[in-house]
Amino acid sequence: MKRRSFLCILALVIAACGHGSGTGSGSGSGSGSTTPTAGPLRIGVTLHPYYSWTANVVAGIAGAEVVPVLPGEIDAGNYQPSPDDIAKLAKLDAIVINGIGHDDFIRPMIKASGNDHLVVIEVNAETPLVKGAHGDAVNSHTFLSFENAIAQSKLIAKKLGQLRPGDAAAFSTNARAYGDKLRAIETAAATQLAHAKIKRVVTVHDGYTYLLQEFGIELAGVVQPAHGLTPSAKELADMIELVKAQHITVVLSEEDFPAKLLATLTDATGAKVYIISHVAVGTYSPSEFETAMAANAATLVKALVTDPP
Amino acid sequence: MTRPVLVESPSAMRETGFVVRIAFHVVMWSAILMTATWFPRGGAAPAAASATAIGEIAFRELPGDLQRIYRRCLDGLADAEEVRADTAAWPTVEAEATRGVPPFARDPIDKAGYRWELRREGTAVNYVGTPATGPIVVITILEPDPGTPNDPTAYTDDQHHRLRGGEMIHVAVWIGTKPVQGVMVTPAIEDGWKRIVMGAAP
Repeated sequence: MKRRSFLCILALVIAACGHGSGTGSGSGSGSGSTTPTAGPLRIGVTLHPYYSWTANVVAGIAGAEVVPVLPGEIDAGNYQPSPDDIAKLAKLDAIVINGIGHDDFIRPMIKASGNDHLVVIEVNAETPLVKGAHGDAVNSHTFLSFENAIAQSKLIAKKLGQLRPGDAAAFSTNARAYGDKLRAIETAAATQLAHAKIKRVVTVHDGYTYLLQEFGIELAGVVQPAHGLTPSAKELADMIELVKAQHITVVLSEEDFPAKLLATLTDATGAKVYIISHVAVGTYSPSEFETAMAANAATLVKALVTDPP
Repeated sequence: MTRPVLVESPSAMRETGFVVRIAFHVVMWSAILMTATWFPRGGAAPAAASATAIGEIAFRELPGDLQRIYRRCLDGLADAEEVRADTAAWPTVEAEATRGVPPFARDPIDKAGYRWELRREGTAVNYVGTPATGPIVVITILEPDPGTPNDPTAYTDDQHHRLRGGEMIHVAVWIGTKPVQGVMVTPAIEDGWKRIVMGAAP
């Protein structure tokens, strides 16, 4: 009787501790946190690039499905969680997240979904992070990069392989094939950008640091004081001074930066503006990332190699 | 014929003993489980891990061109690990270069002119990158001794990787200027070698 009481107390303690552990403890660098199971594999994603990467990793695997949590036309930076989107999380086996500031909305959503078996794959867990242009915070735009895309696709493959050991080799093969495809785009652009006439640029958005570093392009300054914030008149004036002083002739902008502010900057300095996609909105598709990044690479070649006199 | 059995309630001392034992087990198991909950072995590196020790340099403190080299080394290392998992052998520099894998493939952006070489001795493997100018870069890999059982719960981070077959390996990327002799596991700090640490959010 006493022994039974002791076991009951122990079971209660274990249950209480387990309850407090939260959901989705399978971080990107974790090792023993994923439990192999069988059946369909439903993987959620928070950002557009993660959809493309994961779709390529699971291509041809029976039962695997990639589920975007956000509607395609909504930028993660402007997103407000909806009950329908939370309901999607309840049916997932795993979810691929940024985890360093780009999708902070997702953890409360996971908690609200009550899905306590969800494996969270933090793609940045093994990625070296650069500092943001302003302040000490890390730059969370790791997805705007060929090399991070390749490495993080491999991490996704590895984590999904722990969930589905029988498909681990296929995930790995797919991730490598996808990496080779991205690398071919990167190398073709690098071959041209090695002869860039312009090596320093200003960007309006702090999202391109990883991409520019891959091509050896220096970032002279970032117009936006923080992600999504419009610069004040003084901040814009300071940037105009910097562009003039350093003879910057190319400004890289995102699609939806206010045209009036951009015109002020270019009118005052004579710099030319080129648009680099943030890969943040649109129709989810396996080829969305590589298409957008090929266009971005072509834009860089035009801005830095072929357009300058 | 029946035999009488005398059933006695436990003495006060024995009863107290039971309660003390139960209380001890509750406290002990609670502590163990709460520790495991708050500090999971598989979790991401805590922010404190970003601090560097003697013989280390943080990725974010490197100049842009070395940050770029380090990122390419991680890409190449990840690919080499996949090849090692598939073929049980570390790929040659030439094989990786042919597939366009950095940092081994020709790099049109690289101004330092790195040339890469694979060295192997026992369980130690090095990919040594020697530039025309600038620091030497060495990717070190240490495999487990043959016959070492795999530990599925072992911690993974930027120094401890798990191959697809379950084997744990030690890896690191080093920079230094002293020419490399033979195969290194841990280069001498007194010779100026520094291990690049990824760190966490500052």
